[in-house]
Amino acid sequence: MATDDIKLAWQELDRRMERQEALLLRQLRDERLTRARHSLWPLVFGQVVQILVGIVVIVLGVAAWQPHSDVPHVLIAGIVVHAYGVIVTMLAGIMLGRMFRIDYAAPVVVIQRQLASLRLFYIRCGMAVGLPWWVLWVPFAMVSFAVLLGVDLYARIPLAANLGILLGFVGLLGTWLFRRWAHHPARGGLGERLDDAAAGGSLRKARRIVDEMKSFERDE
Amino acid sequence: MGAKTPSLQRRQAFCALIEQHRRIVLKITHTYCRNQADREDLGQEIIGQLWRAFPSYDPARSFSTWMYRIALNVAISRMRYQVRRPTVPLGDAPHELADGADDALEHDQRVLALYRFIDALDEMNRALLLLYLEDHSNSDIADILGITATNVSTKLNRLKNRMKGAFGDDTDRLETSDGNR
Repeated sequence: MATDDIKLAWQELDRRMERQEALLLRQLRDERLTRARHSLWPLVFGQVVQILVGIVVIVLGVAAWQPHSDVPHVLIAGIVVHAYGVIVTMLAGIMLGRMFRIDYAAPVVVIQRQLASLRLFYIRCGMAVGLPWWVLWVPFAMVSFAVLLGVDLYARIPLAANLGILLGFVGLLGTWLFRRWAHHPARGGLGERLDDAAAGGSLRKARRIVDEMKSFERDE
Repeated sequence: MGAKTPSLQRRQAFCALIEQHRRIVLKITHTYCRNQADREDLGQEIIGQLWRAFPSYDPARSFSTWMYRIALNVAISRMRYQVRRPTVPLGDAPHELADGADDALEHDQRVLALYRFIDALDEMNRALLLLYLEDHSNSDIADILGITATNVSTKLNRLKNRMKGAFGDDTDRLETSDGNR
């Protein structure tokens, strides 16, 4: 097939579009069309939920440390949970801000690069919000018991709480060390496979798209 | 009858512009989707995004450039980030292509080959090919995609070489006809 035929085939597509064209024109006159769902809505919804969760966590933290400022371990646990709630809320706010700044009328490369880095940020935020739970479950349990049941969990089971925190830090450190070990070039892509398992392949995909966009831009 | 409200006027202006440039949406949906239902979904998503962005459209600038940017951004994002319906391999679905009685087999083969070539390209190169086949100048393509005209020229040369590889010979005629770009 001659390459000129590609242009002919392209023109032939015009004739094949009649069905869709009629549908498009009909939809254009329909009020619902201009209310079509934004593709980023699921992400926006997720961030709004994260902000709400963050606010609940902040309230829980404050409700623990404010009336118990004379009990050091509850005070510390409350402040830790409060700080975590602030971080969770802030990350979701930053994400929302970045999403709403995306102007689809900007050049394709600019928007695609922004979208890819947004995805990367989203995945990393997910990890930043999830990983602290190795340790956070202990102060969170202490705060929840103090606020909801009026029970000082740490005073009742100090050994278990200390052990939980210690094991949490060991787990966090172990995760970090294992990740470093797995990402060594000698491991034959084990680190990437672990990231895929943790983020459903989306981290690698987002990284690949960021690299693709860089290469598309500079490739002269 | 009372005067039209600004929002009604805006909507009518929008619909008139989209009707005038509707082929852009259709060509983009055909470039990025093989499945009719996907094309319809993508077309709807593009129109929705165009409508949302319409208040910030500057009438002093080219409407088609603005529309290409938005429509391509929507299509590429959808390709990259959303789950699509499974597609039937093209070789197994010649009947879907031949929707008119006047479609000769030769034409089907030609369109089928074009679809195969498009499907082998990544999202950005599909955009480049579409703009090239729609006879946009290198500077127009550069403006829409956000790369330099030199970069466009380099990439188009590579694309033409891929066409040569995929379809055989005869890009000379094509290049001659591009001489005036």
